[in-house]
Amino acid sequence: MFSFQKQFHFLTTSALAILLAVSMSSCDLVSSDDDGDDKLSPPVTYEFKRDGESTVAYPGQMDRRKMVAEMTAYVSEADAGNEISEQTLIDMYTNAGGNGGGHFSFSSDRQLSNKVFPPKADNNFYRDIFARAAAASKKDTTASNGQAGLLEREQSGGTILVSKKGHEFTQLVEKGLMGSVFYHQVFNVYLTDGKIGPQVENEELVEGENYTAREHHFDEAFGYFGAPQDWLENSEASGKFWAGYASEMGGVSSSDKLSASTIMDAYIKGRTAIVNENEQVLDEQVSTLYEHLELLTAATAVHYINSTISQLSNGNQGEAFHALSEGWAFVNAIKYSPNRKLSTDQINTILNTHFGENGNFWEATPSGLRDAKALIVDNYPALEPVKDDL
Amino acid sequence: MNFTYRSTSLLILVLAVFSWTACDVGESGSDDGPDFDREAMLANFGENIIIPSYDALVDSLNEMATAADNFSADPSTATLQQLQSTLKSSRLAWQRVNLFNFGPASNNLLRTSLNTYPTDTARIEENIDSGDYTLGTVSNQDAVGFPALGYLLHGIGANNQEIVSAYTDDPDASERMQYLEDNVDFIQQKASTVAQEWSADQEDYLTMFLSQDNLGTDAGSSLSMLINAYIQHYERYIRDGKIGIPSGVRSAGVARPQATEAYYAGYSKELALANLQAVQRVFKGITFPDGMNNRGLSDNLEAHDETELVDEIESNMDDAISSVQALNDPLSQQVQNNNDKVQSAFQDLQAVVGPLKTDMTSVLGITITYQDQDGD
Repeated sequence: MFSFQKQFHFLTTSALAILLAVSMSSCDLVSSDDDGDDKLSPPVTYEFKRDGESTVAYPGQMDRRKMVAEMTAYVSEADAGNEISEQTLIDMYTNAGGNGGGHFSFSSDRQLSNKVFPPKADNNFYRDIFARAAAASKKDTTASNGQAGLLEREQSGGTILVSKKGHEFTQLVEKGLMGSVFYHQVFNVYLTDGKIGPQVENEELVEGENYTAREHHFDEAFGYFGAPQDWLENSEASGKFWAGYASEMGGVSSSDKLSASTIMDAYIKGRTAIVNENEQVLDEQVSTLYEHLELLTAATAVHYINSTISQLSNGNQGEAFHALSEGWAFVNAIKYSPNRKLSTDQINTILNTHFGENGNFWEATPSGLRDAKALIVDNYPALEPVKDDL
Repeated sequence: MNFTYRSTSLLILVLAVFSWTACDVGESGSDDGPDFDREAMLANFGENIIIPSYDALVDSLNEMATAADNFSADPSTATLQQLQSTLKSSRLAWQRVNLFNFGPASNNLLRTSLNTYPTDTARIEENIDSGDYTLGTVSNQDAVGFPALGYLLHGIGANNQEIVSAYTDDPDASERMQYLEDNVDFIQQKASTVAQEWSADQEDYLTMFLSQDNLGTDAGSSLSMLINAYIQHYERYIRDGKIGIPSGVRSAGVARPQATEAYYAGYSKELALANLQAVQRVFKGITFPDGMNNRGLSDNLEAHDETELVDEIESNMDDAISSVQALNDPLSQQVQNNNDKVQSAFQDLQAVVGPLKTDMTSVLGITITYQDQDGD
């Protein structure tokens, strides 16, 4: 009698423990579906080895991330009212003399200027910005409609230097390059068949290195994302650039549509599939990356449109133009995605009509901003449930 | 045996609750006690205060539009006076809704569209001159709304006769009339849009405001949005905007008469007073227009046994109201002639902020999500 009761308790407890485990795993976003044939199962972090040594390397991407960071820091000196030089910006952009004309804190044989979206339009865009930012920084004027100059940021303090249309130069440079170099290189170069397709060398190691060409190309696509290799596992490791935004946007929703781990997982599984030469898994992961990286840009754009409206509703024009400058660059970045759900016409409408006639932020209206948001959400239905929380 | 059974059940219960809360990221609710119905309080705000107040504003703006048509058809001091008086009642009606700058109001930039001041008279004159303007743009924010109408109906002549002649005899009379009418239209459109977005028979923001998902006290909840908008409005747009800044608290004590809300029309104090009374009514939950004392923030605090805090807030609000009452219109003259009284009204207004912003929010479990800001 006594032992029966005990056993009964044991059973109830076990049943509940199972229920509990099930209910807990429903929170768990990482699913593991092992393929029986694979030699390697996806590791927890982006760590891959051959003969005990790491095969992961993306020094070129690290260099270019540093270049963008240091250029951004230089342009932002103009936000504080200091003069900046066009030549310095060009030297950093083209990495003159292997050290940005003496303006980088490091040396490198890479450059940003030969990696921007071809053929010429983007290159001209940046050179034009450098000239205009430098000229505006010399004038020491307050910005107004049609007049480049400084605008006060009402909440964060300080000022920003904006073009005559109200675009913040720092954002055009930083977020712009995130699109026309990082994003473009991932989408149109490193995740393409020419770089990671089955015909790319995956047996012979690249001379002097511990990786194959195919492995390395995928790592380069990972490097431009901006996540540390132990991202999301190590809570201390924070993502930069795109990975930083993935964390931020993922934070607003419990849905895996915007989860940062969806992207990180796809990178890890994709790289594993290259090691295993499992073409089907690789294809799946690559399409996840295309889809979710694009969704991330769209989500970030909506986030900044929301922020613009809310800042304007409190009369914070400087904050609003800062947010809209970010929004401008994120909407613009969508055009680098070969599968983009927004057409180039729609992107142009957002940038040059919804964000103000001819892209002039001073001519922006709340209804235009709301139209822009609606157009993006229409094309990315995954954003519908979170569009006001972003 | 019994003991074992109970402790097992307890363990299971605890684990189950724990596992459930671990997944739950949405609602969080502070316990308001058995006698308090938060949903009913929000319904009182939405149905009995916010929506009728927007409707009253829209009605008043419709009357202003009619008066503007009459003035345009037959410009005279009589039709001008009629228009001036509808402007004043509309600006008073605005004081009952401006504290709800969230949801539809925020999305449509209602406050910045209707009431950015001081108005930029140079920009207004430029727009009239060129005839080429879109009133809803960022660059025209300080050339539209009530303050712009204040200038156009009170500020362009020494008396009503002169003002009428600016619309009849001046070379740009018809362009000026056009700008006046466009501006009246613009205000009417904006306010109607917001009223429609709230309205249950139109876009129905009310349903979202009262939905179960938004009944908590977390950052996106209805109560959090309402309280944040309410306190931010009190701090930044009443204490600072209506009283502090004109009295010079942001300009080293140097008065700024032109920064008063109704600089040209001369009833800034009256507007401030109306706004403070609206703040007080929301605190108490008094309905509009019938003035019934229903559930409000004070009742929510009392459900937490915070009667003393309620008394403190109400008594500080009363003090602030009396010291604003003691000021004279035009406030722009008072800040130049007897600014001490304005500055002491600012101090009395300030005394409400602490108990509202720190004590009330902590009792109700609301986080302040807007940022403080220095300067204007």
